[in-house]
Amino acid sequence: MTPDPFPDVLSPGTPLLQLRNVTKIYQLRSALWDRLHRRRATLAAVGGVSLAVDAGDILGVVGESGSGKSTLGKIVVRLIRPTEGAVLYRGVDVSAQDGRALLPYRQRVQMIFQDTHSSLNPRKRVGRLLAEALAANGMKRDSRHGEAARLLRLVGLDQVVETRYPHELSGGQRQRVGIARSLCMRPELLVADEPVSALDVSLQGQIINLLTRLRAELGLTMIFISHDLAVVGRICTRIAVMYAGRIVEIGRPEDLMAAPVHPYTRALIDAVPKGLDGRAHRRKPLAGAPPAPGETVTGCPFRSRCPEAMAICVSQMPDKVRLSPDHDVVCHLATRGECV
Amino acid sequence: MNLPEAVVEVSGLHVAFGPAGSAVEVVRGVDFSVGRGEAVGLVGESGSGKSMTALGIMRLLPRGSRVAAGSVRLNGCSLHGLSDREMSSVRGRDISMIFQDPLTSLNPAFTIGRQLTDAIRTHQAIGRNAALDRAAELLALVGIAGPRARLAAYPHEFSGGMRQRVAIAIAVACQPKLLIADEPTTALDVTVQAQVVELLALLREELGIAILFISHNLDLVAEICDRVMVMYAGEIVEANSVHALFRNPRHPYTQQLLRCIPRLSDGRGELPTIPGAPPRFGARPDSCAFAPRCDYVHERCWHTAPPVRADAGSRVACWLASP
Amino acid sequence: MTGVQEQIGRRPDRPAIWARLPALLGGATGCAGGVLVLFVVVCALLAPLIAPHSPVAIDLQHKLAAPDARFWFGTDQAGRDVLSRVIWGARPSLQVGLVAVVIGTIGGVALGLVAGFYSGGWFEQAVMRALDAMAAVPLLVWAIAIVGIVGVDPVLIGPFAFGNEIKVMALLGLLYIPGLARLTYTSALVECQSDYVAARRLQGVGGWRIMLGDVLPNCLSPVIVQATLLVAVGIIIEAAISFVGLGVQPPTPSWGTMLAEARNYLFSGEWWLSLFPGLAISLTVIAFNLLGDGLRDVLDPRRNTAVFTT
Repeated sequence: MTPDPFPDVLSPGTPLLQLRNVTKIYQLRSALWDRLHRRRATLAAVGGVSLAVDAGDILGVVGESGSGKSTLGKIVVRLIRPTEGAVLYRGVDVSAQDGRALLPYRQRVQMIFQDTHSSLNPRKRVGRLLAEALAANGMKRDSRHGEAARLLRLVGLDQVVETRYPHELSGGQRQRVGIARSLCMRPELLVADEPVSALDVSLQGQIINLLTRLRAELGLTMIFISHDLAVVGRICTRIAVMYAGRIVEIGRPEDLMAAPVHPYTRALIDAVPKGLDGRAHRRKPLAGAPPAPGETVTGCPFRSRCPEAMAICVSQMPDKVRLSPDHDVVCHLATRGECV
Repeated sequence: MNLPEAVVEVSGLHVAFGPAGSAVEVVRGVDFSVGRGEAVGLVGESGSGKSMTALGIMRLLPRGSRVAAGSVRLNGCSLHGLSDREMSSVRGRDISMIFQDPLTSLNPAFTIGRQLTDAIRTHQAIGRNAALDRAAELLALVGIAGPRARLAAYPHEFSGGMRQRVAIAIAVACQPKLLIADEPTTALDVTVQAQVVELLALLREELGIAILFISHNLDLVAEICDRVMVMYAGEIVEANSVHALFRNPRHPYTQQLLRCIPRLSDGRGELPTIPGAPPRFGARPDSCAFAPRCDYVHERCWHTAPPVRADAGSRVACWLASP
Repeated sequence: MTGVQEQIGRRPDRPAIWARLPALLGGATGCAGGVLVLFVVVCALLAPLIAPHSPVAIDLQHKLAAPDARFWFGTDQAGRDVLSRVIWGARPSLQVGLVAVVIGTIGGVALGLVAGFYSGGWFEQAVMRALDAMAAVPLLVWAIAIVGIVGVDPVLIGPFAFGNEIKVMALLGLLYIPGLARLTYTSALVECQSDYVAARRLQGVGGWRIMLGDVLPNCLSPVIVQATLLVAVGIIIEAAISFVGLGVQPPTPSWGTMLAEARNYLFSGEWWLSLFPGLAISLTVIAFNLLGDGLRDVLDPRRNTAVFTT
């Protein structure tokens, strides 16, 4: 048995999860010609991300394609190892661990996936899926069935679901099974990677309300990754906005929605359809597109689309500015004190 | 309300899926029309039949499905009597369609110049160089920089948003009367979605094309459409002007759907939801399909399908509106 | 929870497995193939019981007799009953066909699965390139070349002597490996990207367990179809090898050797010597092909999975 290195009691001021300067760089396969000249294409999926999550928080991570939010989620659950930087859980660095050493971490941090079609093995019945997960967590054979039934009830599914194959269930039901499966490992921290993006709007609420209820009942901490700012703004205690692999602004929903500082955050808020209000106040949409994978840019990665870009933005990456204890932004406008 | 002259009229459209004995009706009696230069939205969730309606209009239904009843009229002429060849000439010239996934709606093996000129020359007898000029004009119209040079590029060299613009350019190449946009922005980032929506509004102004905008996002549809139709389980349950629908939704599904949409301006707390799920295996014809999930359901809803109440420019299929 | 419950899948009383079998085999095609295959297998298994005469009994008095009441398929140049020889001839054909496929499947799936699961490593490159090289030469050419080199003497393993067919089976099995490996490899590559594999990793489960318990079952569908079709290929190859004298050695009856012996009588009017073995080969090959096609319709993952819920 691998000993559990995580202290049960956190010293005051220590966050549950801390990311320090986490970077993930992928080496892309390059043509032979480039390799002969030692030119290797690299993709910086995540660059220098630092953040802290306290116990009981719900952190929302918002971004578009290429923002690196999914990669960040996978680094947190250690499906991917960061190229640089540290992932500290309860003060213990897990970024260098692998294999069996990670088992205690797996029993504390779990993930819920976006695509319900591929997140459940199509050849296994739900009952077997859950029993296997419980077995992986070391539960005795006799108790597995009862525990599986209890978890299904917990996520709002009838016990008959145990005999069904995933393709016999609807998207919402499959997602609930996915949640039940992640709970088999009795985690403290749950990373939800776009858990409702594939569901109808009228059903999204069911899953989101389930997650907030579970958080309250089980004392979970959550990281909620999504592209939907409205959902994130509703349930999260803090929101991190990502662009091109970096966090550009992080703060409480009230601050971010009411008075966004970073031009990208503002553009994101403007771009969300607003129904009749959107008809009345037409705003010019942001030009350009999120950066393609592999594109490297000097200075601030947002400068090519930023309506407030200045000369310094081209040459220099901005520093992080602390506007208030809960509100950080990475922008030259803030450095210069020019933001409102 | 003075409705403009109708370009496309759909009446009593039924689309069925599956073998003849055990067919499931995915579109159950849809009636609507789109006027010249109008932007009409068709909103629905999974299983509502909105995409099948569009494919039924275009006669592009997938294998195993067919139009079981009803008619589609283009400028007064029925489309269902046409042969395949005649229908092919209608597609692209009179009615065009763009799809959700720009990755698969452009052919990866051909340059976009080739795909554009193919579309142009299918319906117009002009030479290759003239077609290339027109193609460059179209690319400029949809907002692609350096259009002449981009004609030689392949789809994989473009981002998702730009591919969708190219798809729009191909669709409007021959100035159709109606453009059907089937979830054109669902696969795009929200900032890119705003650009594409702005482009569609612009094209409508400049070219006078009518647009049938299909989406699951009611807020998005409200931004560009004048009229909205809400579909549930294969039927249109409510249709009205955008303002009237948002201010005074009459069908319980519309009301509940409007409540469910998460908005930035909302406070915090639980998200409203509609309990249960849309029917998956076809709805019964002798009751209201929404009855299991409706807040206002009563005895009659289970036994008899509600009548459609059509006033000037609006329709509702609910017992509450027709007591 | 809420008062409104969602319908959970559609599982009305499932009919018994016999009633579902036609659908599981892919409709009319698959069933027809299945029935024929069953017929051939039964003939081969029960050959000693159903063959009217001995396949090797020489009776020169009745040589080259046309089909009549006593010898339903006539007799050959040594007076042996053609019907009995055809029935007994099913054995080497099926043996070679099935055993080769078993060897090929086990070897191919194992190699392809590991190569796909540990993609990016040295194993993948080494194995895939080696298999590509093997696949460059057509099956029949390999078979003839190797058997030609190795010879046709019986194989001695310990105290047992096996006929020459063993070499053909082993050889064919090895030659099937590249195709089946590639099939498994492409499936494995795709399945390994799935979230359910990631979820298992998140449970701390080791690589081999995930590979065998989660990925393998999802790679088997195309392999099953291909394996069925390869049985048909094996039967043809066995016949061809025996035809050129490198396979089953006389006096053991085999459809291929029967055709070889019938060569001399093609134009002299003894049509029954070539027709019946030829028909036997064709029918058996068609049977396996039909079964394989039927299974393909059922097992194609892109097909809507209604079959499993009806």
